[in-house]
Amino acid sequence: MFSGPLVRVLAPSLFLLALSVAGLGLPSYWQYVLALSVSAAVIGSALAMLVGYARCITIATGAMLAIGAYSGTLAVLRFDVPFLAALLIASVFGAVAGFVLAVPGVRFRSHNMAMVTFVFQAVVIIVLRQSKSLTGGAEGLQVPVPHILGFSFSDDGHFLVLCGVLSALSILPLVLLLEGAFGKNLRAVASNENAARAFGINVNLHLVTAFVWSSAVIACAGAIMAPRFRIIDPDSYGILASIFALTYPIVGGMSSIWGGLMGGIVLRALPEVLRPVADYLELIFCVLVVLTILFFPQGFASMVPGFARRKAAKNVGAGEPTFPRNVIEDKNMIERLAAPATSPEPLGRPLLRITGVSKSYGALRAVADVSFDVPHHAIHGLMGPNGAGKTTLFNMVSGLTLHDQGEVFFDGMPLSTVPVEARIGLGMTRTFQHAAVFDKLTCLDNARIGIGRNGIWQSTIRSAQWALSLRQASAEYKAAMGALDAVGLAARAHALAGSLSLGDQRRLEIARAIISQPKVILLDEPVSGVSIDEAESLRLLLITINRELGTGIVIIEHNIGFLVSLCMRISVMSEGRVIADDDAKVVVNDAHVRRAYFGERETAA
Amino acid sequence: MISEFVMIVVGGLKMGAIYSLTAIGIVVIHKATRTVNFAHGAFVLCGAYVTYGVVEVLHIGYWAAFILASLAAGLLATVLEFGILRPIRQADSFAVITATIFIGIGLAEIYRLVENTEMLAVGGMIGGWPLFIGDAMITREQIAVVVGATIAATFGIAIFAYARFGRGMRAMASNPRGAVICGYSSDAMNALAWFVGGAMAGLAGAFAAPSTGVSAELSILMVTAGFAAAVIGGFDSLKGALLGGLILGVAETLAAGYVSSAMKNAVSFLLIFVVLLCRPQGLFPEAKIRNV
Amino acid sequence: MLEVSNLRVTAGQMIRLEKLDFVLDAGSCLALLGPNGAGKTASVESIIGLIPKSSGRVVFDGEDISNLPASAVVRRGLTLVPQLRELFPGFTADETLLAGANAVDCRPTVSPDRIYELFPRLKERRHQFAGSLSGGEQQMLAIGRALMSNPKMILLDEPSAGLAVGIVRSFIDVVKKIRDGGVGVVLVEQNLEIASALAETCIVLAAGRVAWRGAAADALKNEDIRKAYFS
Repeated sequence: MFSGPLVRVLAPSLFLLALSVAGLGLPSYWQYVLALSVSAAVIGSALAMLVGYARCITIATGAMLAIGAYSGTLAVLRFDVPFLAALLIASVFGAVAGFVLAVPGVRFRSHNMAMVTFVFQAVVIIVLRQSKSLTGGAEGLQVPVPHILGFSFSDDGHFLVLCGVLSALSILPLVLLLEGAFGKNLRAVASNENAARAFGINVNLHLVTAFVWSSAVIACAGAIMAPRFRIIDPDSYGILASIFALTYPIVGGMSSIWGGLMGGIVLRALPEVLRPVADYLELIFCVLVVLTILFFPQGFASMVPGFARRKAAKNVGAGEPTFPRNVIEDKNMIERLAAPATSPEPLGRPLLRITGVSKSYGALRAVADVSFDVPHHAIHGLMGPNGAGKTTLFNMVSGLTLHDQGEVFFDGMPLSTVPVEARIGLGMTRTFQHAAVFDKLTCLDNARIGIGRNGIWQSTIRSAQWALSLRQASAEYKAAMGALDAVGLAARAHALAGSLSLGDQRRLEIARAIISQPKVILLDEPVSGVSIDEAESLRLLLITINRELGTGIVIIEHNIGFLVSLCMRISVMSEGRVIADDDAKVVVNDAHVRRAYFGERETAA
Repeated sequence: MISEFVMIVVGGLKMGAIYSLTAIGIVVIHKATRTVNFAHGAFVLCGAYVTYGVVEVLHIGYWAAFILASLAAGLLATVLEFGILRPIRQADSFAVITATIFIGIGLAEIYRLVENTEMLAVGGMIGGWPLFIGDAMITREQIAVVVGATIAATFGIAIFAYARFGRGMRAMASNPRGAVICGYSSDAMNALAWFVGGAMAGLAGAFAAPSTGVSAELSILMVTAGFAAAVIGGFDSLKGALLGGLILGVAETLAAGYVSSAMKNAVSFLLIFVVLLCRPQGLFPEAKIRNV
Repeated sequence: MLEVSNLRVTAGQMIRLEKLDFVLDAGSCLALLGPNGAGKTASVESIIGLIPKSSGRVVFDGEDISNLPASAVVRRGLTLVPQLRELFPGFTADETLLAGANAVDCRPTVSPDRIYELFPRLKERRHQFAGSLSGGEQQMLAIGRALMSNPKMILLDEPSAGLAVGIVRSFIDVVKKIRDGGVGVVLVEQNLEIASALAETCIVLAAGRVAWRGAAADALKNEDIRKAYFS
């Protein structure tokens, strides 16, 4: 059970625990500071999830802390709830607050989202200040000493350990999610939203969930520290508290929990260490942040060697990959595959049926009444001069654009009711014109996302399965390695996708697209910008995939030679209409097609 | 009753005009460089501080304060853009927003450390007897601010709309590539936009100084109000910013007068929230075309 | 007047263009042909400085402009009508032309009336917003904007793309007039017929490299060119 993943998940909590216990030797004041720092570490981790992984700016941290502190305290004061139960209540209040904040917030990104969090922050403080009868208003609320089973934690040392234990427990779910599939999905969304959606990741749901979890943890942290402050008042949870909490992940390092954690510890302790220059403290912080953004955009954590990426554990059990091996080495196979197959017999219902699809942008008819069929297991090309409407049509089939008229049927099902995120479930995946790999994730993780089990509940379960090294996790690992092996990227499984060459990134996209064994892959200019050799090996790869797996392929390309040597049939578009739809060799010699590319035969004046 | 209402509205228009000026500065900067500038409040503070220096320390007339405040704040803004924000923007546009937040606070802190007092008072712009409309008393200062700030704001909008370099800024804002092939230099336009944006903020500070005093809190107050006004107007519209500021100012004083003074603060936030929720494109959404 | 040597353009790891050389005199027309992705747009946009060059030299009117930003290049009399036209949504047709007049250092500008003479249909729409014009009118406006600065040489990137056949004919006439007025023209086209009607020499690009170059008349007959497109 004690494998790599579990250690990774438990490490931050154990660290906080160890830190707290080690602090027992310190004088009373420094025990207080250490408790503050441990609490800040929790806040920093929660913010790393929001600011680092989900890329959401939030200035509502103070409000969340206040919600936790006040709800926990009021639960104990007014309702005689035991301390531990009060913490749970505080976390729930935090979660609800996070939800309330996130639902309008995620409709926006960047500055508008910051504004929404700003509004939330201000309104919460105003409400707390105004509700004198409930919260004591601006004068504050006295917080009783915490009791657990009769034991009173009034001593600084006892409180430090209590804080350590509770903090360690409260970040556990956070770390589990962030290190596991959920965190990977968040990173994917930050890398490339459209690609994330195409592989089943519901962006808004993921962001709301990130808000809910981090708000719950922050509220819990607020409730844990409240007793030590003895009195809590609204103004200590104001906008400045939110802004300074932001410094934890920014300076510490946004792209990992440890960055937020260490940032929290260091920056919360810093004011105490810098007592002599207390006046200059805020200024020092601001300068520190701006310098960090300028020179260490990934935070200080990125400076620790090997910190940014860790090598994953060794193969979790060897096993035969279920995908065909890399064909490039097999010369005989190359010769056999060099000639594309002829069209298969149409078996009943076509895989893709496009009927009368049109799309206009204002006065411009981008796509006008396009109809054609693609049978199962076929390789179908789509070509045409500039402005012909190919990409628009493609986007309508893959779901990024909605058509005005007509319908696209996928295996008999009309696609207009199916959102982008659901299409992978139907058996349709795609690649993108500009190699939309998730550049901050490893190749392995890119492939794993391709499996498609990326709903919120599923990614939570998968995070747990990974942490506990359950059978499902190793099955995923095998499938991902198999897909990478099929495209020849097995050796680079643990490399960051962003570090790959363009050709390799295109292969990775294909691996990601085939791992779910879809019925069809949609390829958008898969060989643009790659060398001739690379294009040839991609061609062979695609033919193999089609032959061995039976996966259909629909491909847009400008490289007509490539299309002809790969496709069974090609549809040609020009000015929004289909002007030819026939076997590849026939289409290329068609007079209409030539005219579309070369122009009208007219005598030059 | 009516006179009370009139006084409240006039008071609201006064602060509103100042908010409009601030908001116009924010929008100019955003239109030109796509930067959301949370440090804008510090520019207002700079203008107010210079005003204090000119009026209370050097005892030169207020007219000099307007000029020097705009210049100082405009310069500050341009230096900020070229010195700190440009290098950051090339790396990561998400980081620019966070950077402006901390730069704004840092600048306010520098002021607080230098001056070491809570607030500096600045004398009024115009003395003399107040005017009376029926029972409503309106000070000359109020009139001066409303008229002056509105004129300055309208002037800013007019420059942007009609003057030659205004055309360049608008061209750069709506299509940088197109502007570049018309010979507009993006460095020059950026510098201009930040200068104008900062100058508007400095002017707002000069108008605000007598009523709000010079303090670090002014910075947060103005950036919040400026943003609220900009959001109400539709973040990319100058006219919207002007109107948004006036609406915000009047709404605040109405809330303070008829509900409670605590509501006054809440009003700007609630307005932002409602606008973002119901009409995120604001009062004057910007037109877009689809290129063929 | 325009000398391009060894021009190379990369985007990340993609090589969009390599080893492009040519020379063009005033009053002549050169056509850059090739299928999509061949590097035609990369060529003209890097010559004018809108996108960065990895290496290579561009000399215009005796001056090395290789490292100048596009706004400076335009001021020296070499201008571009981009593939996407890049107009300003909130500007009227008139204002767009005035913006184009900005790009002059010491040369007298062209009056908008001259442009309206060239494009009578635009005159009726001078106070309409650029966004509300049809595709063909937008193209006319984009070319007119470029002409306002009285350029010595003009780069046209696929001016006929997506336009109806009838309008295309009138464009051919306009470009001829421009060329005959002593302005050099580099015409980027996919359409072989249009290119041969206007240009004296042709360069065919394929996958970022020069695949063929020669006289326009030969291009029409040459089978190699058709192969370059279709393979």
